[in-house]
Amino acid sequence: MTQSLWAEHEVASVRVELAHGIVQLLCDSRGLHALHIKGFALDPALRHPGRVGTDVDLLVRPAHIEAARAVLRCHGWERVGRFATGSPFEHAENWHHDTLGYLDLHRLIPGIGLPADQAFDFLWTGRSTAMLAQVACPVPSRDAQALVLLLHAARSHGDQRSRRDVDHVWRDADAATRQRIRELVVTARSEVAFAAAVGDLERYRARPEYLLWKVNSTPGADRTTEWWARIRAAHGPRRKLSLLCRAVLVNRDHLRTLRDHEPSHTEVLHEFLRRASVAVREVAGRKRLR
Amino acid sequence: MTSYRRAADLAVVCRDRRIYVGVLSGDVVVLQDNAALIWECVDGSTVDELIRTVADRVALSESDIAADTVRCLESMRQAQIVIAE
Repeated sequence: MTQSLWAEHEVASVRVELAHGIVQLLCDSRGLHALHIKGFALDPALRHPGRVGTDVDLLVRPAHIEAARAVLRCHGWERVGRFATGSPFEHAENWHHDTLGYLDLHRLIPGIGLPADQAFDFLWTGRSTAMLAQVACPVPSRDAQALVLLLHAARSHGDQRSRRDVDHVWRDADAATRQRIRELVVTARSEVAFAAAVGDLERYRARPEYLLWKVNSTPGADRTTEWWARIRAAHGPRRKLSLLCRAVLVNRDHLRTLRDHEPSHTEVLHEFLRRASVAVREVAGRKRLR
Repeated sequence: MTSYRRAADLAVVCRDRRIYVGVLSGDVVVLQDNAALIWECVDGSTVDELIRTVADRVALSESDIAADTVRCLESMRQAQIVIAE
């Protein structure tokens, strides 16, 4: 007769699958709309051999974000990152649970050009279901999952896993599948990011977001260029000015993660000076991407 | 007579002859051997019915497994993965 504690038998893949199931049960309990994307939620046909999920990626209806945060907080999850500092696209915030690990709570999919609420509706309307930990978890349609995977590859700096994703879901796909994905690209207004994923980005040199996708789809771009790309892609002078101000400030969330503790004023000051020094060097020796 | 059923709102993964059961708080209970078997048999039955079913499955007498089964059910109830009614 054996009943034991999780700590004695923790298995990473089990942890992630349980996290998907439990998070979905929490969403169901509050009537929240959420789609499980990537990782374990990915349709098996879209997974190349060896592709494993390490955390839960959850796209939440924008109007339900606050309620989702509340229910997570009530059940042992702690927010460890913020939208504003999570990525150049400000699309996800990071949560952690002592037993279940990490969760990325997404408010949008970078590369989809529709407003966030319309983008969610676009994916929600065609949704399917994946059984994860014996819980019915909503997922985008298989073709939409392929699109999400391609858009993710477009901002993965050309890493090996993303190259394999692109090969698997796009280059090896049959003509009919490619056509369906292309139709989704148009509906989702994701032409530029999609082009970055499949190696066709130069067609969009004139678009304001071109440089942002160039920087994020290729390895080795410097931080100064990335900030410039973000400012260039941003809509409206206020947003551009806000990004310009943030570009010079230290990302405390990132620093906290690196140091594994709340950074002191001295550490923040040192980081500020280090960033300024790096920026000067990058600007002085810039190899322009354009 | 008390009967037992599995709690609602559980996440369950079966892997390598173990059953991992997670509750909303994120606590996870790992069941294996006879505990896993008892879990599989919990379906609204009374304790006596469960003992009979489990005894049949493991080919032991009811008296051999009764105490352990009751103890295991209580432990599952405390972990909130089964409900006693």
